[in-house]
Amino acid sequence: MKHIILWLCLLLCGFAHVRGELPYRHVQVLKGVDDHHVMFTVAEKDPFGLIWLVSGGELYRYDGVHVVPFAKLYEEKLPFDEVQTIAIDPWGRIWLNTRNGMLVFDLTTWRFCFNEHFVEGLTEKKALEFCQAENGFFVATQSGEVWQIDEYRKTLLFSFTVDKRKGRHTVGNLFTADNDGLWLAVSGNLYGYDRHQKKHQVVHIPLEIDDCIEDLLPLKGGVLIRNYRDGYYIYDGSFRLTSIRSAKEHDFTNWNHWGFVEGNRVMLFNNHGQYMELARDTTLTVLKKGYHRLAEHVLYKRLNAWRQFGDEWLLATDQGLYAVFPSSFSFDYVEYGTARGMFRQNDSYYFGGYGFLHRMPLQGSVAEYRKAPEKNYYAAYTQHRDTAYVALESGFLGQMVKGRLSILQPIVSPQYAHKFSDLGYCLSPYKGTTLLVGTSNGIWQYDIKTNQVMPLLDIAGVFFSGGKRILSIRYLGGKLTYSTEDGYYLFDGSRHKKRYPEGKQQLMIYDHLTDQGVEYLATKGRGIVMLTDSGSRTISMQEGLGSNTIYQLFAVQGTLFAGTHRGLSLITDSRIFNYRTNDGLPFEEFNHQAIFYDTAANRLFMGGIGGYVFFNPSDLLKAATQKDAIPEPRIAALHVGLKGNRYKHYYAADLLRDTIVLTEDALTFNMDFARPDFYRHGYDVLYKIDPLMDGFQQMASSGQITLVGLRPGEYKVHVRILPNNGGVEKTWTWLLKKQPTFFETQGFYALVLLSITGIITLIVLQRAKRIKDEKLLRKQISRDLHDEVGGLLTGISMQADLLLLDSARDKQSSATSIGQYSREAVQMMDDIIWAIDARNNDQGNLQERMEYLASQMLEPQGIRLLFDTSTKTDRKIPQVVRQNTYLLFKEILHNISKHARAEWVSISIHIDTKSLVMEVRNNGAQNLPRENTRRKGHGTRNMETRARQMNGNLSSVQENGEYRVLLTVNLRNIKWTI
Amino acid sequence: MDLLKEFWIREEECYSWGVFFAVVGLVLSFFATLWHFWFAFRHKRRCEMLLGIMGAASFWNVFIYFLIFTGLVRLVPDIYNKGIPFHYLVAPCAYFFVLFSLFPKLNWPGHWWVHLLPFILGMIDIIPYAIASVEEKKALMDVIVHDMQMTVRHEYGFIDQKWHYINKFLLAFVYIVAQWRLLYMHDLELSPISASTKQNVFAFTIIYTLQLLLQGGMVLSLVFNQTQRSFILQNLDQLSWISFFFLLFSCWLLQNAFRLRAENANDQL
Repeated sequence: MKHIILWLCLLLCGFAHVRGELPYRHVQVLKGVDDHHVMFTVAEKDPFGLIWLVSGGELYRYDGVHVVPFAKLYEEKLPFDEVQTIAIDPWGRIWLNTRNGMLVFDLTTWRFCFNEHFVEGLTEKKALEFCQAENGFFVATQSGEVWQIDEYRKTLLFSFTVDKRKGRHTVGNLFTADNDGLWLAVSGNLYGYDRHQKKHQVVHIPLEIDDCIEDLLPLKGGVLIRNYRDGYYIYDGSFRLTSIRSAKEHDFTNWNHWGFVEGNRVMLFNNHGQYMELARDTTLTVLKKGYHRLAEHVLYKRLNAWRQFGDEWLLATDQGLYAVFPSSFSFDYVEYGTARGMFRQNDSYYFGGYGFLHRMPLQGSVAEYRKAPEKNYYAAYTQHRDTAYVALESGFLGQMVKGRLSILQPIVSPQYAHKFSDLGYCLSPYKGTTLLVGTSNGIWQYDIKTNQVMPLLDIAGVFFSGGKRILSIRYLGGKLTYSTEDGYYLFDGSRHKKRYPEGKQQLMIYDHLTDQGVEYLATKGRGIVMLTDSGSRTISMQEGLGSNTIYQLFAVQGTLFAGTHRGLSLITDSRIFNYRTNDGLPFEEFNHQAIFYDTAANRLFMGGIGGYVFFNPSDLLKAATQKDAIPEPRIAALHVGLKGNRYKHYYAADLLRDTIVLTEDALTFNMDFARPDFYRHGYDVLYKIDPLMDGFQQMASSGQITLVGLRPGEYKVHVRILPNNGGVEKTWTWLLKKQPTFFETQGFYALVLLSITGIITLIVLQRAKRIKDEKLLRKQISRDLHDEVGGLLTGISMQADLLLLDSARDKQSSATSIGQYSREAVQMMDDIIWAIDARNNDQGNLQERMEYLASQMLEPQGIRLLFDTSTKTDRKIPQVVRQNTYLLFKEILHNISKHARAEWVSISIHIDTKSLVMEVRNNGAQNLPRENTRRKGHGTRNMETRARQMNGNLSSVQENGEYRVLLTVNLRNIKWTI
Repeated sequence: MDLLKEFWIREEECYSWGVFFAVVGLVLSFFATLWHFWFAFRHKRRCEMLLGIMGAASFWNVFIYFLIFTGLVRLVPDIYNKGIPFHYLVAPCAYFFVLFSLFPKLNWPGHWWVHLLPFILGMIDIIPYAIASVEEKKALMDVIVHDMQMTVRHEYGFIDQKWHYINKFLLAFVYIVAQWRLLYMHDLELSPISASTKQNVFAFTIIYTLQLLLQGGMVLSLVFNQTQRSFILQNLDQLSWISFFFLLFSCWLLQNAFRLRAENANDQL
């Protein structure tokens, strides 16, 4: 039990003095890493405000919400087994002193550093001590080297000798630095290093100093050495005991003395209530001397390490982690129990409540005032310096004159006796010698002279406040205002009117006052309501008020002091400051009617569940406007749930920047927000996500924002810190970009539209196709009629003309021609009709027709006919194919019969699902007459046109005495052209 | 210049391909549109008049969007939303341009005025904003330039403003289908127009269709992701493609002007 009560008492006392005698608060930051492991070896804060802890040889991170083992944060295998101590350099790197040497973990990149120049070679060594100055980070190794570490490199400053037999673990620092030099006490030697001249010196520490050495404090031109047995020694070339020395042995142990360096001062505190400020040089000139005041309870814990971070100290103890920091205001506190109304009489304050009155002289402490009986002293009114009236909750009214209390027994007229209530809750002076007492049944008028009481009546003689519990009364300028459990009323002497809330709506109003023409109402549940000529306005928690339940109000020069359910709220210039326990308030819940302003002493007393606090309102206002810096919110971790049940976790500061890009396969997204210094309850955290939320809302205590099913786009996560005391709210924003999957892109939507439009277009075009097909058919029929039948009819016409001519030499020949042309025309018409008749699209019709045609045309000429067909499909032949194939075939036969003089013709037609192949061969290809060339050329062009119309391929070749025509039609890709 | 600096926002985004395409497209379409109007009036050509109207409406649409995007619309709040009725003319103009280009001998259909109904309704819907006070207009513009989804959420109109986007594109898709039908039905063998004219109309239809598809894609994005409307409306990834096809359309318009000029010169010879 070396480091117990007194050490911490002194520590707290020291703070109290240094910070303008502000009382220091301590809070338990953490009970333990869990319920069963409460010992902390050391705790450090990183530059991002998160706390790193060593407990049981393991490393943990505390983000203000969760304590997470480092092993869980670091996904790979840990390169260490046990951590002994840690330090964090200014660049966000944790120096871990492990059983097997030093390791450096970079918080920015979230990886261990092994090969970087600033750490190369050090990882094989163990650290003896770490220390920091404003512009440097230093490591003393157990191998006897002192290194200065910079952001990218390291420098060996000097070497020293280590004797492992000597040395012990101290809570104080035996390795310390300032901007001028370093000091290291090790193995009985004191090493000094001049950072300007880059030289070091070593001197042997006398045994009588070294055996009880506990702490080194750097001075200009030397070092101050704390020896817990003797006091302070100074070394400035030689060792000497200073005047700060023990009156008796061990005055300078950790539990009865504390000293530290702050700027150019050395601060020393002892357990006799004395403090000293000394110049931080070898003269140790006393700058200030005085007494300090212990303002806090002590911590009965064993201390393992302490670290200073700004205005705060982190204490790692065997029973939790504690933070000690100055509160923002020094409230004077009268602790006696639940407070109600109070008053001042002569040089004493009398505090009401339940039971005895309590009395406190202007200079002195509070005590029960047993000269007055036990009562429920609810509210008070000071009539004169030595006379006061007290509203009693049971007993109606008491009068206190020069410290003597008498319970008044008012005379109640029989006609009102049945309505009289002796439960007084408030009172106010009224006309002449009368007082108004607000009771559980309306307002009663008490005449001091006659000791008579009667209800306050309106012009019609009606007891208008009857049945109402009166919570506050004020009589000003001939107008009486009062509040009840259902609203706020005005009585002008003749009639009364409800002022707030309107209509039949009810609202409990504890207190009210008027300041600078504005009426303020202290409501239960709606905060403070301001009534002006232009209407009403509400100041609630949404605007930053401590609570929406206000018990008491006081106003001075436009500044409003409100005792709420959660601390004291101060409203000035549209800014709201809240004070709670960590700001110096001993309690947070204030009471109804427990407020008093001592004009003479300029003290405002505000009472609550623990008693009264009192202060000078101007001082509080001044302290409030000197706001403290507020912590910056930090993302401690990002967790992204991906498709396929995969998760990714991000901790590196590099990845937690202002813009976060989520891949398209991200399904869930968690932002874990750290709450730096949240244990000091200095702020509230609100958040808002654009465009998902319309307004800010309180962040969950888990500090987590979870987003599920995010649509692609940009989201702005605004985090607003709302300082409870004195600060202006500040908002930070993170930009979150969710990448779209393909199905969420503009391209995909364009493709969808293309598909829909395409389908609609296809349907429309299919309908249009019928029209177009009809057009095509008409065009083809007209062409066929023109090409095939038109020529024949022209021939008939010409032959008929010849017959008419007398000069016709051979009328029989003409008649024969007419007959032949007519038959051909009939045949042609028959072919065309057959071709356009869709009923002939069935399989077999084409082949039968072709075989019939061939036999009709060729066999009469003695040409042998070989016909071979095969069909491997049941599908109908498209009309355009059938029509053109047939007419093309007919053209081929026509050419053979007219011009080829063939002996045989071989025809083969093969149809399957893919194609139609027709081959016509004959052996009459030789010696075509020249006069037929023109006709043949026309026929070939005609055939090629037909082949083209069905997207077919026509080829003719003459070889080995054979003429071969081959038609191939791809039935899967029929082109509809004319 | 001070005013420009005062009202200019999204300065960084202005140095992007999307804005570059839009600005070049605006310049090209401005001159090409003027030329088409001049040519149409001089030679009494209805196809060129239709193209001129279409070009002007498209130009106005992009121009206003550009002003909103850069914040400069706050300098001229009166011109905001005046283009709504003209947007409804783009699709009918494109359709009739194709119709009369492929079938030059056709007369105007009997109920041609039906195609003007959306235009008239659009005219009516811009009245509330037109008669609003200058302060109201400025206030709305201030909101819109920072939160572009307000272009479809403001109350200055008889109908929900998003329906303008939806209706415009629904109608445009109806017209584009009809446009493709015309191209399908047209038989070059039976037509007096040249193959190059048909190819020109074909190219126009392709560019216009692609432009419409991308714009329609954006509208669908807005419909299916309403929480991100503001982001989508200023998302340069999407706007770049739309701007690019607007530039293509402007180029086509310009080449059409040159083509007509050359044809006209040949005819005079």
